[in-house]
Amino acid sequence: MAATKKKTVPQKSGSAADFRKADIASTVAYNKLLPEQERTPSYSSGIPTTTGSLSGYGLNDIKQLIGLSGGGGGGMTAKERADIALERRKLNMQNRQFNRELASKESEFGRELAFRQGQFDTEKQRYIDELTRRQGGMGDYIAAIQSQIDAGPTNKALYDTLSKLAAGAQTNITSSYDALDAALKNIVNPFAGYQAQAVSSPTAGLEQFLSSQGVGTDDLTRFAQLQQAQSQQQAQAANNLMAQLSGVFTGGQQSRQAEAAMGRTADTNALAMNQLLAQAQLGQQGQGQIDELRRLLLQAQMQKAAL
Amino acid sequence: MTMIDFSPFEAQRRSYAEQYGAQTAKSAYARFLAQQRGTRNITELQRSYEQQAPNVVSGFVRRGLAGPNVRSGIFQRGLQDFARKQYQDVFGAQQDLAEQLQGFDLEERQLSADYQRGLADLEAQKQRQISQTAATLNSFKPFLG
Repeated sequence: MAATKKKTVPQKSGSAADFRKADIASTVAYNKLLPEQERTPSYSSGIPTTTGSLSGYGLNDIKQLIGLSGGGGGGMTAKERADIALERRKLNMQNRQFNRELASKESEFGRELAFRQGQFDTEKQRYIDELTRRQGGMGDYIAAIQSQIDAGPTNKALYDTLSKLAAGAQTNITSSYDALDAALKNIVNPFAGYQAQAVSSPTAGLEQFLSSQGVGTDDLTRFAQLQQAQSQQQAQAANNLMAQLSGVFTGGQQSRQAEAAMGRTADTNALAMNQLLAQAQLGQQGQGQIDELRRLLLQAQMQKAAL
Repeated sequence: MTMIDFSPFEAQRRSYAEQYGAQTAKSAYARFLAQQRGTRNITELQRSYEQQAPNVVSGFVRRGLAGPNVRSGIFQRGLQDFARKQYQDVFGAQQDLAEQLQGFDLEERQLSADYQRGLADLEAQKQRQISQTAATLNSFKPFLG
């Protein structure tokens, strides 16, 4: 069967009652599609008084509304008027939604902006505080280093200690060699003053014996003198030997004394040299401290300038 | 200051003293014995000659070479020889004793010289060690790091 084509018959413009029915019907149908808070009453239920319902209305809209509500409109059916009213309500609703969303977005953006601004201000203040703290701390640090440089090396007291130890060492050296000199001088030369005695054998007894027998004593006397001369020579030889040994002994003692004098000089010089070396080493340590402090000072000044 | 141990020096000193004491005692005793022996020997010699003297004279008298009215060259020479020999022997013994004693004197003095040289060298070594240790300033080295 072929589809019958409905013939559209232009409708006459309806009455207010028709408009009201159509309005109510379309509004109800439309409101079903919306959440409850966005549903609007139909025009027929009364002139909307809420701001939202009036939003988006222009003068023409009001005129049309007035025309639709009672005036005899020209040429539109009630349905058409109702559709137009419906579209207007849709438009109004969209306008309201748009404005709500806009307000919401504005509100959200405002809060976001305020939050970010707050964060920025906080961070900015934190940086400022940190910078101030660092600059202040760096200034104190620089001042502390400078004061240490001005105070000089920390090993200054060691110079006094070194001087005292050196003085004590010199006393030890002096007393040691004085004791040695005294000991060497107290040594007695065992060979000195030795006198070997020649043998002296009296001939009186024999002379008397010979004389008693009527024998001359000249031969005996000469012989005795010869013997005693030989004995004298032997004694002198012994004395010479002792004198030689005495000289050797004395020479040894003098050599020891000279050696002690040289040792005293050498040790005194060694002490002075060691003291100078220690002072130089202290000076080097101290200079090293000052150099390091100056390096730290320069570094700190550069860091402060970079802040 | 670095502490020095002096005990080795003292030990060496004691060693020297003990050695010297032992050697001098030995020498002194040997000298004493030598003197005793020598003196005894001289005494014996003199007595021997004194005992022989009358026999020598009597021998000459028996041979008619000596007497109250005899002037014999042989007797003269003989007695002079005897006297000379006696003197020579006794003097020789005395000289030997004197030389022996001189030898002991020399030995004793040598011992004394060696002992004192040892002590002097030991003392010098000790004082030098003290002095050189002081000169090094070792006690300050810990401060230098």
